[in-house]
Amino acid sequence: MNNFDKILEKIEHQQIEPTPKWYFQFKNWGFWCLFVISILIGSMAFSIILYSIQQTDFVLISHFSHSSWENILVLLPYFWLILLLVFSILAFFSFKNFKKAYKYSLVSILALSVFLSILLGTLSFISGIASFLENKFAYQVEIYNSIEEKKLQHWMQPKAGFLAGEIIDSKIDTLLIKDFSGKEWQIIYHEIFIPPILELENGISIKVMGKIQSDNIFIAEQIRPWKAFGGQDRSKNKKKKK
Amino acid sequence: MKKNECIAYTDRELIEKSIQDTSFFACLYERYEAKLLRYIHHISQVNEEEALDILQDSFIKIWKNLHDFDADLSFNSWVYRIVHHQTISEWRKSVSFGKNKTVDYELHLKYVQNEDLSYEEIETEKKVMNIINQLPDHYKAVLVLKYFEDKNYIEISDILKIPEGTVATYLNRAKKMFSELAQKQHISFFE
Repeated sequence: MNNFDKILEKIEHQQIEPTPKWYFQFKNWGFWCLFVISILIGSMAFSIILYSIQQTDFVLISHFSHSSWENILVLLPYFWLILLLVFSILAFFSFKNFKKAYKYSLVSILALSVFLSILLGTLSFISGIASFLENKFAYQVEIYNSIEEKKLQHWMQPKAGFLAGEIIDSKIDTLLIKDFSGKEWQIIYHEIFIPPILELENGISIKVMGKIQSDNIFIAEQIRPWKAFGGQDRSKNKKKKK
Repeated sequence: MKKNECIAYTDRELIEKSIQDTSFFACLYERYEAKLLRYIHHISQVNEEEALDILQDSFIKIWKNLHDFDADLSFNSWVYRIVHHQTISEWRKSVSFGKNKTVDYELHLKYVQNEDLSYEEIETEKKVMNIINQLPDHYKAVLVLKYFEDKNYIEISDILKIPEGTVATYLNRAKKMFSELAQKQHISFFE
């Protein structure tokens, strides 16, 4: 019995059939889908990271009592960073399973995945999809701590020098605001920098940096608009979680 | 099917016909048997029986994956790829089981050369194989494919599933390592 007869005998004896064509087509198609989905989710995560960076008050970090690095670590959007990392790895591995993937070096595959995520993520950020998605996500997912919530938590620490709320009355050098928990505060300001775009009128949400003087009196060192460019307007965004 | 009947068909035609009739699959086997056995002996130090087993298992894999054959690839590269992976996998298994693997040069020469060699040529061949067998698997594979199997960079890239740039890098490093080993062991090929 020659070697091929042994092969034939094995094929016939074990009834080995060629794997159907649809199986390979389905597998290839599956990897393509996984790649596209991973890139889309990765780019969505990237766009929300951009949005989160834009909404972070980096200018305030130097005012914190803790070190800057410590505060940067607190403000990082971990959920989206992990999502970006996981889906970039998934995109990389699904690409590696393409038939011709071996023609490309690991570096070029990684660069392609990252480039696509950055490109689509930036487009989604510019078009406003990022803020829409973040808001939707915060609304739908109970345990998710949104960028807005993080911001709110940070600005509701009057003892630490951070206060935010809506103006309910405005006089020279004095403002009356209702913070986001409903407490009223008298804000005293004198010869401080106020951004020209900010009009201190009733109904406008602001954030104030300074120090607490008594139970409801706050001496302002800086006053800024609550809403950064592209951010959520607190007065129009009353989040309702079930 | 007789051998001369197989000649009339290309590899691709034989693949298509194999699915209906296994005698066409026999044509493919016969067409590649000698080349592939030679390749198995080049990249591993298996004995004759083990090489035949590797070839058998490889052809069963080829049979199972006939529908996965990529039309953009040559059958030659595809079949070498499957045999390469099967050989490396079996070879590593046998080495890890601690089998005594010394090079059987007579067996090796039986497969690597069909023509009669002079005494000097046989000695050179032994020296070359002795050094090649000391190289890491990936360097050994590129050297064997390039200089013994006469494959070009694209074919080597398709067989080993690595980018062409990596083939070039491996080849350069393999050649450098080869000459360093030859120098260390005082082996000269120009006596």
